[in-house]
Amino acid sequence: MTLSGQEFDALLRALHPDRAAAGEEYEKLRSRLVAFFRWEGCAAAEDWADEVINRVARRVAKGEAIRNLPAFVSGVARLAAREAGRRQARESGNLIEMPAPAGAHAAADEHPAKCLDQCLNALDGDARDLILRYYDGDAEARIRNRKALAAELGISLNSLRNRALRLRDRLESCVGNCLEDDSRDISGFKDTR
Amino acid sequence: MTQHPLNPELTNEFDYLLGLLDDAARERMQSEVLENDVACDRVREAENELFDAYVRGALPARYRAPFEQRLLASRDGRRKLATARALERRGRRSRSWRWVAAVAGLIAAIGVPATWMRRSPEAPTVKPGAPAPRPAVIVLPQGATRSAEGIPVFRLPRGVAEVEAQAPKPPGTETDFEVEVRTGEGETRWRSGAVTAAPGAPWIPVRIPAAVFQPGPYEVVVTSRGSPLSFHYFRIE
Repeated sequence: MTLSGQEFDALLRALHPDRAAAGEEYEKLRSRLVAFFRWEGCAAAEDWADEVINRVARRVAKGEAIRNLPAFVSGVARLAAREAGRRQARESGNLIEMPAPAGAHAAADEHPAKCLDQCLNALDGDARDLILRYYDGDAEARIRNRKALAAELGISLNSLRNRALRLRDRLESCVGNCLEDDSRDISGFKDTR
Repeated sequence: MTQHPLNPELTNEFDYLLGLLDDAARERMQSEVLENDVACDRVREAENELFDAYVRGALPARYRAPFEQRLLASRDGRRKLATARALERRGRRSRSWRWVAAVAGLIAAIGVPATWMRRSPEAPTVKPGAPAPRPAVIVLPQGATRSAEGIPVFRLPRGVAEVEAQAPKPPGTETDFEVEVRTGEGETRWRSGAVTAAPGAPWIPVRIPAAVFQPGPYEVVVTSRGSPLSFHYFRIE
C-alpha cells in the first residue's frame, strides 16, 4: 500500500522541523534501511526499506507519541527483517537454484576493468585521485595512505571515509550498469560530492 | 611487524556482515546501523574491505565461506566483486609503474644493462648424462596492465625447453598455488598442477614448457584454492 501525501509530510515533520533538512534526514534514513536489509540477506532490500518507512509514517500520521524516532524505526525494521527472513525461507522452498549461465564468470572477469576505466573517466580528476588512493594497497598501506590523504585534504578521517564511500557507491552502480549493458551511455555519471 | 590482511579496527563490523556475532552483539550492531550514520558507514567500509581482500586473496580462511555465502551470492555482491576486482587491477597497474620506475632508477644508478630476462645459455645440445639445460627465467612484475603499452617483453632463447616464471608471492597468502597461462584472447594455453612456494619465499616459481609460448601477448593468473591472487601481463617476442 502506498503512502498518502499527508502521511509522508507527517514523517518529514517528525524527522526535522525544517523541510529541506527533513528531506536530507529522510534520504539518510532510507539509505541506512536499504543497507540494513541487504546485510540481513533480504533479496528485496529497497522494497523492505520502503515498507518500514510506510509503516512508521502511518503510525506518526495517526498521532502516536514517539519519543525517539530513530529507535522506533530501528525496532520496526528489525521486526520487518524477521518477517522478510521467514517469507524468504518459505519461498525458497519452492525455488530450484539455477546455475550461473556458461561464460558468466568469464564475462565478469573480462569487462570490469574496461567499465571501471570508463566510470573513473567520468569523474573529475580530484575525485578519481581520491578513490584510487583511498582503495590502494593492502590493509596496512591503506591505513597509512588514508591518514596522509586526510591530512593533505585538511579533513577528518570520517569525512574522507564518507566521500570515498559515496564515490565507491557511484562507481559500483556505474560499473554494474556498464556490465549489464555495454552500450549504456555513462556520460550522465558525474561526481556530485 | 604483524601484517593484517584486514583493518583490525573493523573486526566487529566484519563479524556482523558475516553472521559471526552472537545474538546480543548482533542486535546491538543492528541498532547502531539503523540509528547512526557513522556506524552504518563503518559497516559499508568493512563490506568494501572484505571484497577488496577477497580479490587480493587475502581474506582470512575463517571468513571465506561466510563471505561467499552471505555477501557474494547476491546481484549486489557480484557488482561489488566486479568493482573490487577492477579497482585492484587498476591499483596493481599504478603500483607496477612505481615499481618499474624504481627498478629503472636503480639500474640507471648502478649501470646494469636493462633486461627483463636472464637468458639461458646458447641453444643447448644435450649430451647423454649431461645435466638438463637450464630454463629461461622470466621475472613477472608485480601486476601490470593488459594494454599493449608498457608491458614487459621477453625474448626466449632458441632451443630452450622450459621457462621458469617467477611470480611475486602476495604477502600473507598460502604456500600452495595453481598457475594458468592464457593468451591475449583469453584462451587457456597451460595449467600447472599444485605449485608450492617455500614458506617465506618472495616468489612462486613455476616451470612452463617453452612450447606453450608463441609470439604474442600473455596473461599469467596465480590462484589459490580457486580464488585468483594475481594477474601478470607480458608479451613474448
